[in-house]
Amino acid sequence: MTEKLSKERLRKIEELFRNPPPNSKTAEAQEFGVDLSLLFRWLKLSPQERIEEARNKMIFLDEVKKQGEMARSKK
Amino acid sequence: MKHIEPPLKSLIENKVEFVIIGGVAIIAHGVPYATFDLDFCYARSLENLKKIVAALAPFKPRLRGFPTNLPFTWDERTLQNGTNFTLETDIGDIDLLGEVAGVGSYAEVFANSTKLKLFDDDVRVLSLDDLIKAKRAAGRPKDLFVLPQLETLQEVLKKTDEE
Repeated sequence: MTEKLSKERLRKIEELFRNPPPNSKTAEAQEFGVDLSLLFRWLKLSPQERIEEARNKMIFLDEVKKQGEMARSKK
Repeated sequence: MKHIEPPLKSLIENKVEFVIIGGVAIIAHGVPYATFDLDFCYARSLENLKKIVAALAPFKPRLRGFPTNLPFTWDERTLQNGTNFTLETDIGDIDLLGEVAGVGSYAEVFANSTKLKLFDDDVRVLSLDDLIKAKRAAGRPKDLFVLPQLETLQEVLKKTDEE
């Protein structure tokens, strides 16, 4: 898993996510509430792209937190 | 987490023996996850401790959650006196673990680790199987919450690898 997964492998994974085999971990996760479409989108990225996307989201969350704190301090 | 590249580059440039564990490893393997720190497992040899000290010194590490006036010296002697360190630095939180619960010492963590290309370098990351073992062993709600995603990933990757 050093680079992106191949298109063929992703196709097979997408199929497993669309129709999780009964009693599989995938079926259990879906029942638990895991968003398999989000997991699949993440799998399409390379490891570095995943880290960069997570980092960008953390920067955004930090900004939201700062704005929230500023809004509270103005009250 | 916002500044993962500078400490990683510094660890690599200083030839530190380390394996990325925790949230960044989860993300790298393919699970969307929010993390605020960089966790890594490190070899406990004196030579490696010296390299860690040199690699992280530019980021001014100090103990997280302790009063700022508490004396703290960032050197290999301090690292020899403990195993796990939760640090805050000028660029974010960094946790150093000498061993990983559910997996074992650095040697065991390294043995099964996965090599990933991150920021143009090959970096060792805790294997997906060991991540699952570590999360089961940790057993906190936040660890158990991510298990279904890790186990799903393990299942589909194994299934599509065999075919």
